[in-house]
Amino acid sequence: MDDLRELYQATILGHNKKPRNFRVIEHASHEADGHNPLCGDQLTLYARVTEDGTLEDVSFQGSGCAISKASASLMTDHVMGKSLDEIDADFERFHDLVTSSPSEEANTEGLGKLAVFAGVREYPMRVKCATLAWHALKAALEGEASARTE
Amino acid sequence: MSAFVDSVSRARDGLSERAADFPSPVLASRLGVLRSDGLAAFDERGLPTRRDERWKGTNTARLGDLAFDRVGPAATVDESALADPRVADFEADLLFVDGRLARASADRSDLPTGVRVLSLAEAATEIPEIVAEKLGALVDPKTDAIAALNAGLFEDVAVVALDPHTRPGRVIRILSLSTGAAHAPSASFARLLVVAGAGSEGMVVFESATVGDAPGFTSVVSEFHVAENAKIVSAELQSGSAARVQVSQTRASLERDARFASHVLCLSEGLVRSEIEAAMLAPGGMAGLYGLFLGRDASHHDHFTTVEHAAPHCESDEEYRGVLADRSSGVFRGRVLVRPDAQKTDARQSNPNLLLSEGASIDTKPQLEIYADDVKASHGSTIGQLDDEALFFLRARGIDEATARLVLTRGFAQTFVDGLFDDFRPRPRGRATRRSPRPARDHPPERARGAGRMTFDVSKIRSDFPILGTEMRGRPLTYLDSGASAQKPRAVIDAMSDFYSSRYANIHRGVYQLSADATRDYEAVRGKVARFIGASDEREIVFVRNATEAINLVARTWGEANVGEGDEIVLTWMEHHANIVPWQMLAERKGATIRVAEIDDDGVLDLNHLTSLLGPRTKLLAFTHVSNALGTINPVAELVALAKERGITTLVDGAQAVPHQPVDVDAIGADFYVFSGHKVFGPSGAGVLHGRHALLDAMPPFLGGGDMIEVVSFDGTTFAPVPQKFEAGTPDIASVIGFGAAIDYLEGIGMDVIAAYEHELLEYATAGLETVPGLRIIGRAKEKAAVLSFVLEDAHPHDIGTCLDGEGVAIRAGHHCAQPLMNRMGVPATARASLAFYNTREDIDRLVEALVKTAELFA
Repeated sequence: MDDLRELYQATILGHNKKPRNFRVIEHASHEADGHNPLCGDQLTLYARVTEDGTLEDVSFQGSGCAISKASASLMTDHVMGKSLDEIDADFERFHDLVTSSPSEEANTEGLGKLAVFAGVREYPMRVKCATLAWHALKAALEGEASARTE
Repeated sequence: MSAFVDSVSRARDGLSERAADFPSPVLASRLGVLRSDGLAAFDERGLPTRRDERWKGTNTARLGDLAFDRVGPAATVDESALADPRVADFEADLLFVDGRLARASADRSDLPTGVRVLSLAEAATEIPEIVAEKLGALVDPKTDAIAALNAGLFEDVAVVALDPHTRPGRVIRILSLSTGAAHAPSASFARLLVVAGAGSEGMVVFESATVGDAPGFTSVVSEFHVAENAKIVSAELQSGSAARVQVSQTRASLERDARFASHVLCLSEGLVRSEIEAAMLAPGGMAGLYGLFLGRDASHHDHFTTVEHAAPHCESDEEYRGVLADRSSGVFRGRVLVRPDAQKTDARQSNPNLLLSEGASIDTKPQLEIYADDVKASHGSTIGQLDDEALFFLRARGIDEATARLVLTRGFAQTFVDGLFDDFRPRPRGRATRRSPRPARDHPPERARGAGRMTFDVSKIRSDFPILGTEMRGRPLTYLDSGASAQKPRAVIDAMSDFYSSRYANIHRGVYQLSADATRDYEAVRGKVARFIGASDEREIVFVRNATEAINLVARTWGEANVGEGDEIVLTWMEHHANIVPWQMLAERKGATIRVAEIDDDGVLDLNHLTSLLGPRTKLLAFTHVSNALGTINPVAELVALAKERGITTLVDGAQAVPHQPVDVDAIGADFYVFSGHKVFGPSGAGVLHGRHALLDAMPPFLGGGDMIEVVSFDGTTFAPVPQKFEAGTPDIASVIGFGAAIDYLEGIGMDVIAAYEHELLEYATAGLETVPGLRIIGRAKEKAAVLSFVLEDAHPHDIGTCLDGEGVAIRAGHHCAQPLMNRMGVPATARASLAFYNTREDIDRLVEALVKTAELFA
């Protein structure tokens, strides 16, 4: 179980139980569904972007495993109020973190609390769970209706 | 008037009114009717004589000459009888002396609610209606004088009543003693009534014995009412002194899918007449009648059995073994009656006998009366002495003659003893019919029923699977995902490696020896598969990659030719995607409709709903034999019969059945039966489509190419006969070879042994999982394979899977390729542990331990 505590850190378990921004945004400017068929994770991501390209509000609803829910919750906190360019860079950094080799030092620069997902590197089958919300956010911002991680 | 009848008349004068003080008027009245009808029938028939066909085997004059001074217990119970070590050690729930209750054990209080072991007086208070309805219901006094007399004179009854779906959790024990001394012979009339409610399971041990010489007469009448899906094992021990005449008469009735196994061990030193009559009244019944009688001195054993197949799709298995020494004599009459409607009956009977002396004799007569035409029946009786060669072999190794004879005789009797530990399943036909009836002298320590049963050694089995010795995440691998794919024994790995190393060539092509040998090896597996799954014609075995390919093959060929616009295909909610999507694709192409049979919250198929879906437009019923996600075992023969009655084609997905239980495709009768070799401990890449020859022959080919043709020209091509018509191109030859090795390996253990072991493991695992806080098992069918799907209150199945992975425990998490089923059960996914015969209780313990930790982590 010690290895598992690396994956299921208190932050992740907490966000799984009480996810932030777990709500619907009325009159969202962007919206997309995310689906991870392997796990059965399913979420809808809502975003409101201002005219100058700032993510004014972001939220999600859905059901899924602890990793996907906590990831969505922490992501919404992390990207709230950022510019779309910054978000693109964050996604890149997050993706690099969870897909990097577990033998390397984890690069968590600029990721803040999202660094807790470094533990996912040990469980490659779970990378899709961790990135589902990000894919959905990206799809929403790019005007697509849905994203799948498979 | 014979001495016996005279004694009976005197006893009747002293009879008091039966059960006058019982609180239940219904029961009191029933007891009165039993008595008056019984005595009237006895008066009318008189004692049986040798002219009576049923009693031909016994010297009935000895019965007629028998006089007794009293019926029932003496005025004071003989306390020394109760001090007899056999009594003290037996720890009976109920002890009867001379037909009346002498002692009831306090241990009965540990029986679960709904399980009752009662004397007649207790039953009169607790369950009078059940007893009034069932007692005597299976015994017609008009057909047998002794049974009639018992109905007239019994005073007490041992009542075992199991409410639906209950299990006693231990063996129920009843002891019936007969007492008496040389100067005062006695008669006792004992009675056992077992009422097993639907889905209940239990084992009842009944011992009938004498204390001291106890000259006189003992009558025992037992009735077993086995309701649908109930499983009852009866073990009866008959022992008695040389001065005693004992008549034991057992009747059993089996409802739909009921199982009844009777084991009679007869050690009587006097005259014994033992009858069993089992009637299967509804489809799916299974009756096993097993006996061992050991005669010495001048004892006489008369075993008279009847198995009645009154309904289709029932199975019976009977084996009575006789060992007779000194001047003892034995009679075996085995009647198998197959009624006109009882199609697809499978009946086996054998009666091997071993005579240990010149003076011993046996008269054996199997009697098959078959009035249906689609029946498999086998019988054989043999008489032999100890094998001289075997004796010589043992003596040549320094074993003295007496010991050598004992070893060989024990070997002969051992199969009966082993069978006591059998689950209710008769053994698979494949093994039984291949074993030709041979004289006992050919092989005294016979390797027959369950030869491997006592020696099933899971640690030895595990050592046959190299991967089970490896680690996962630094912990010993606990592999609980055999439902996804099974691990492979060394024999399979070696067979493939050997084939590639020294015998590989393409098949059906080369003119050279290597190719001819490879072709022969490959085709030999076809025969092995046919035998393994009970197919009578090996041309009906088509090799494919896996079950999915087999179903697609049928959909693309039979489906294309036979399903049209407006036609219907009936499936069930518990199907794997492999048995959904190909039919959806077909329906889409043809404008046909898919209809889906409901299941209940336990995951049991709703037969009424399914039947209601089978209409004039239904072309196909396709369903799974065993659900991969729930473990539910469907009543496959019954479902096939429902479809056949309506002229509907059937396809059974056997992917989860073949690895875990004996499967007999001929008995099931489906038009198509499919499964994957990789789940049957063989390599991936070899699977099987079994199809009825006439259908396969009429179907268009699937893939075109080499190997499946007869003559090719650009004007047209003629196709090879089945099965080659469906095996275009070079198949996965090595996998088929490896699959053959897997079948050999499994047959060496015995699929019935595997099924019994896994069933035990399933019960252990179910009990273990129920201790995990917040855990809910999904799929609670009574008939269930060793598959455990579950959810935890706070942890998503995928998180469970990862947590268990961290503990070295491999399970599956997800929708198990059965998304419609997950929706039906109201869960997005489940975690699933699927077991195989190489799993152990320790594996289960590790699973439970890891789950408890997981539940704590997410709490």
